[in-house]
Amino acid sequence: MRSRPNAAELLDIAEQTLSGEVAPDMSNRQRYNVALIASAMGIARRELAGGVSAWDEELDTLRALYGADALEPPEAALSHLNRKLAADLRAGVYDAKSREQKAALNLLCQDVLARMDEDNPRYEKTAGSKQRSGVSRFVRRK
Amino acid sequence: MPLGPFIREAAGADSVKVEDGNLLTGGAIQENRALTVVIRGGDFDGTHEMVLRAEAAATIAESRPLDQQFALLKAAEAAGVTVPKPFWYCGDAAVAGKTFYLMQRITGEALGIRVTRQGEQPELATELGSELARIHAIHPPRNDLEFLDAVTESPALDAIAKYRGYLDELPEPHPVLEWTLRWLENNAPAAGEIVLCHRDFRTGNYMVHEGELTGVLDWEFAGWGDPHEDIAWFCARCWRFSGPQLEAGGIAARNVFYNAYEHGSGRTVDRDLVAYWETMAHVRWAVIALQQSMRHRSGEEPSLELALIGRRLAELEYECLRLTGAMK
Repeated sequence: MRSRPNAAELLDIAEQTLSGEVAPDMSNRQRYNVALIASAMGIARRELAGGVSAWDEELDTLRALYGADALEPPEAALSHLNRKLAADLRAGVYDAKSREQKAALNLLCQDVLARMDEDNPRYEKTAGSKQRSGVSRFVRRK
Repeated sequence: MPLGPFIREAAGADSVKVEDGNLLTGGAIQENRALTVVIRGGDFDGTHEMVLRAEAAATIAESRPLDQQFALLKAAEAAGVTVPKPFWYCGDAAVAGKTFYLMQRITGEALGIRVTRQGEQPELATELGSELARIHAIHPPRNDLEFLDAVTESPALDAIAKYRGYLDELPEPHPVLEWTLRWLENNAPAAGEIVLCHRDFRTGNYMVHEGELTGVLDWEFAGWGDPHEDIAWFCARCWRFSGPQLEAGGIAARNVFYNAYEHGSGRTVDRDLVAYWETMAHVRWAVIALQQSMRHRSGEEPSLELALIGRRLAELEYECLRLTGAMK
């Protein structure tokens, strides 16, 4: 057991005090710094609420793709399996449509969405242009 | 030799008085200082508001040294691009503590968040389209720009190789960026016309005074490339600030900008190529953001601003996944 309010609650009220009460009395330059500090505290607060990954199923998905080593601690497994995934993506292992590609792309999407919820929850996900995507008229190399 | 005598010699003046001003903000990589320089005699007689641009403590790999930036500024000025007038470059660190160059201080607002808060500005977007056309009128080969790397395979494949190299220098793997770079490789267009690309031509890097453009800034990333790279960078979602629906830099509809560019350059904007380079734009900004955050993480330059740039990664990766069709 820890004392309350907990880390997230403290960061929350500290952030509110900073933005709501401290910032209004400051110069522009200092207000900019306060906005940065409040932003950093918000990200830290949201990150603290989660586990080792932004997306809970990240490690299970990586282990499903590459096999599990029960003795490896989660942080080390995440690091080395992500390195493997990155190298395989570069090498074209996931180029072709397959069950594995689907699982890997789902992992990338879920991970990004979960990190966005921590880093910038107000980002307008639907805004921006509707571009032609996925298929290109350019000649595929090889 | 202190600054005054350096300017006196460079300007062929009788006397020079330098009044030191403030450190200017803006420019996360370079250090900018405002100066008032009073010159008596010679071709530059008069009072000049100048900016002294010096190398910052730590830079990122993409950033060009100051003598090259100065040469680019000179080339742009000669091509009729609206830029702060470049005065002199000084390679002797003894003069001001670091190498530097002096340029005209232009007035106006550059901050992207403030520029886009003014809403739709079609005249400004038109001016910028014409400016970009003038930049793209500069073609290789150029003796004054011989330091710029020639395109080897194609602008796209060269960029992919470069960004993979940068990713390899970072401590963590980045699967989303690897996926996107692979997609860009598989869909790479053949090399087309090669022009001088500014490579940071976007809202936040030009100065506006009372609605009018007063200068295109920050030439430190310029190089030979595909003209669509600059068009895409200007329009990319990550550079629209308060105006995400105004797809040309958060200030106008794309067609306004495209039309001015087409009129000025005589080229037709290839919409598919813009879409391709817009995907590249998000990878590029993501890689630069990671490098910027490393300046903080390495302890070289502790800065909350640089630290937070690292947490912009997810939204850039989101755009990468969307543009490659992976995010439904």
